[in-house]
Amino acid sequence: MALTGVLRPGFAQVRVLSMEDALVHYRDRIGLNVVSTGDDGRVYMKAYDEFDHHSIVLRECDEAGLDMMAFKVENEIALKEYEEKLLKEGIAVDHIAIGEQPGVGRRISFVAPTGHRFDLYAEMELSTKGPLVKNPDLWRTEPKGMKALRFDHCLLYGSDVDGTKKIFEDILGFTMTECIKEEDGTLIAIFLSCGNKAHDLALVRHEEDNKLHHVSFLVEDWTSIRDAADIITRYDISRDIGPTRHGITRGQTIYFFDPSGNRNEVFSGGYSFYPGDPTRVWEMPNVGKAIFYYEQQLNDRFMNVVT
Amino acid sequence: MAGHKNIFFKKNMTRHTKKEFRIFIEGHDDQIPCPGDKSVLKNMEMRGLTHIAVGCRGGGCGVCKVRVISGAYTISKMAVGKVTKEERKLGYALACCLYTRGDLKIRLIQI
Repeated sequence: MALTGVLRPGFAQVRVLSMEDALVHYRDRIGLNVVSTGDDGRVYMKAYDEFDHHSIVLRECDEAGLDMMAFKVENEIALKEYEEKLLKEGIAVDHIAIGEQPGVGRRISFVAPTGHRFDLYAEMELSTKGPLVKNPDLWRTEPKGMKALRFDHCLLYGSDVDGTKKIFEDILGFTMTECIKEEDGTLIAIFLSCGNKAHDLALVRHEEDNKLHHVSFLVEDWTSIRDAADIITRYDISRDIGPTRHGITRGQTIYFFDPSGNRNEVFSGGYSFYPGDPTRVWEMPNVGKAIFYYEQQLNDRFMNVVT
Repeated sequence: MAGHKNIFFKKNMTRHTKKEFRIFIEGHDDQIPCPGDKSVLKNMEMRGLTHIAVGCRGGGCGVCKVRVISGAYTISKMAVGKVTKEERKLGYALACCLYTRGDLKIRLIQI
């Protein structure tokens, strides 16, 4: 299968209460590289194994949370097609000019029924600090902190999960790989993939719209999760839960909070998804195991604390 | 008028003191020792006390909101939507961002 249409998550713009504290967290602890700082104070960052200019944007603000999540699409033709389809479904589309973020081409932007803003773009300049391509060593300089490989996905909370699901499936070509379902068929949580990953975007039904549950980064393996846990304790980072494993996606994981209270995850593993694979379904009596495979029970903080 | 005193600190000012104070929780008998360089929430967690709900510990989620009834304290950055400017004047604070500068009497809030 050729990967077409929406290729992958591109970047997330995260609000932080203190840029100074956030930089220590995302740069020194998670291990992202600072690419540039904008005139408006936004800081652009990327993981060491990412080619594009940036994947995380930090914006200092008096509220925590997520400004938007953006996906990279195949090309300009695909971008135009998505705009037409969104408009046809009655969804308002905004245009974000080239260069609103450094190195990023024009974006289209819409607000999903769960209240979240999503952007789509086709072009982003390559970073000069991207992975090597000629007789490539593993990295240019040794990775720092938790050694995050890439920004991987977001989990978002909002009320009209079905509405956002419809847009991502019907217009943007995502597939629901896995879900948690009530007995009456109500979807409590959905996991959506635009490629071969177990998830690129996850949504959980929640009374308040436009909430961020977590921004996730991929790390190499289970040992990296242990090393992340060591860093979390050493630097007194606010830990949520883990190291553990999810039943859903099978990812090995640890959750923690940035200094502004936004939840982060570093994870490894998870299955590959291919078109035609059936959706994995978790029923409510098994929800504990679905979320935390070893603990087999939920905890209130993980389920209810969002920014 | 409430007897709380919020000592705002300037950037780079040393805001925490290692000196130990006491926390009284309204309706509870405990006197909880709390050093000035640990947030009230962190101090509670370290002592295994569960009076206050623990969320993000970073001033973003709002679940550890309390009201200071009396005593001097400082606060670090909190999300404005979780504790408004008006509420701050009335002694509301997130326990994860609350540092004692004297003995504190606090009221628990159901979020």
